[in-house]
Amino acid sequence: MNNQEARLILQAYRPGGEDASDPLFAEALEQARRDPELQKWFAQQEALETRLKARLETAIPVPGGLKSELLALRKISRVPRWFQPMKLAAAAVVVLLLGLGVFFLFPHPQTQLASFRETMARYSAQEHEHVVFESHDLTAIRQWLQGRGVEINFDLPTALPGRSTQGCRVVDWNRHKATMLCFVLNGEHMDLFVMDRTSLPDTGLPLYVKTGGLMTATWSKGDKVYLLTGENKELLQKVLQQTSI
Amino acid sequence: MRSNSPHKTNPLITHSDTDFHHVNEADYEQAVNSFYEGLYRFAFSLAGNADDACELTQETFARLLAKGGQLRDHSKVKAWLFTTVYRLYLGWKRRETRFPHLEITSVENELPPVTPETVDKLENEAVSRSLLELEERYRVPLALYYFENHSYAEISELLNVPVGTVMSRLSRAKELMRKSLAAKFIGVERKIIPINSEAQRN
Repeated sequence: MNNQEARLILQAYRPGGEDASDPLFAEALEQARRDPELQKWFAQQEALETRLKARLETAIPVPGGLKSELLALRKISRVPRWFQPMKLAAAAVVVLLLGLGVFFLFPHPQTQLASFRETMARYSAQEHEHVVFESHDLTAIRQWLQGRGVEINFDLPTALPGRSTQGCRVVDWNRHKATMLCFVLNGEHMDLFVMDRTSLPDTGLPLYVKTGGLMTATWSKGDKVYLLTGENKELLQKVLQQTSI
Repeated sequence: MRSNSPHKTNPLITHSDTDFHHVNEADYEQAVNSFYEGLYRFAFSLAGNADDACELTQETFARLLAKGGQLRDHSKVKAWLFTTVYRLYLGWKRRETRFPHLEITSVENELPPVTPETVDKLENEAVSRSLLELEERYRVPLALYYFENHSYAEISELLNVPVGTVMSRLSRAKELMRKSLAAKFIGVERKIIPINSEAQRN
């Protein structure tokens, strides 16, 4: 093995010594021990790689809320006890007997949430008849909604004052009615959707997911699920950080 | 929702839907604690922006929750996560090249060697761009090498390429990244050519 071959192999060596006992590196390491020039090069490489790895970790910071969002996914994905692996075989028989219809009657909560999110994002992106009732008066909006049999006892995020409302409409998702409120705040367009939680999971804190080109934040409070759409995550976070959820 | 493209089956994972069951919550939490930072950074190196990196990371962990029970060997969670995020990205990837590829031509031989001190003096953005600007075939193995400390053998298995190819790509990737860092350090980024323009010329 010449020094060029040894260098090629040693480029894959991880600083920290995890590969020290790997036979693939043995000959190249031995060569580096024997050859002072190669040894010097290898020592410089290790120092540089260690520093580069640390700098890259600093240069690509992990968003602060990501971990809690990932842990919150458990809550969404939680399934009834009878669906645990030990009972899965028995459940599979039932599923076979009932056929595909069961899938549509009892879809997975996470699938449901994704479907809700995608449907609301489509309404939010819709330009034609974006709102049906136009008003900057939240009281008038609540009266209009009440007349259409929609729940009006919802909490607005505190950073979205009623006066910034542009209007509202009633939208459908899986035969459930949801309220859509359109806001423009500091020139930024946002839509807030509120619906009885029904079959949707209790997500608790906001989950940020980009859907159909829009950023969405979904959270639940009491028996209601809320979904806010906007241009980007920072905008939604700014609105929601002032709201107790 | 973007769809995942069909890719080669990873031998570590059984893909039959009849095997479907969930990973338990304690294992999931441990996986998040152990790997979410490295996975996010790897996703960032693939997608090139924080929003898509978050979405890739969330989707990967959502799949772990839904399908992680298929993993026969829990020590393979790391490989499963990184394979899944990479496949998700490949499924998304029918889109334009996000980052122009850097061409350092006439000054290549004049660039100073990169040292730990040079690296310390560079701005965060310059450091991350020096990785993001690499062609994908070099960027992906190098990101795996740096984030979560993947070995050459793990990279080979994850990307399904021979060990020799991993070795040569890592070597070339490091060389290109160092040239890019050196160029940024002395401010000689002469010419940036989007890869599409280059393809049109040829």
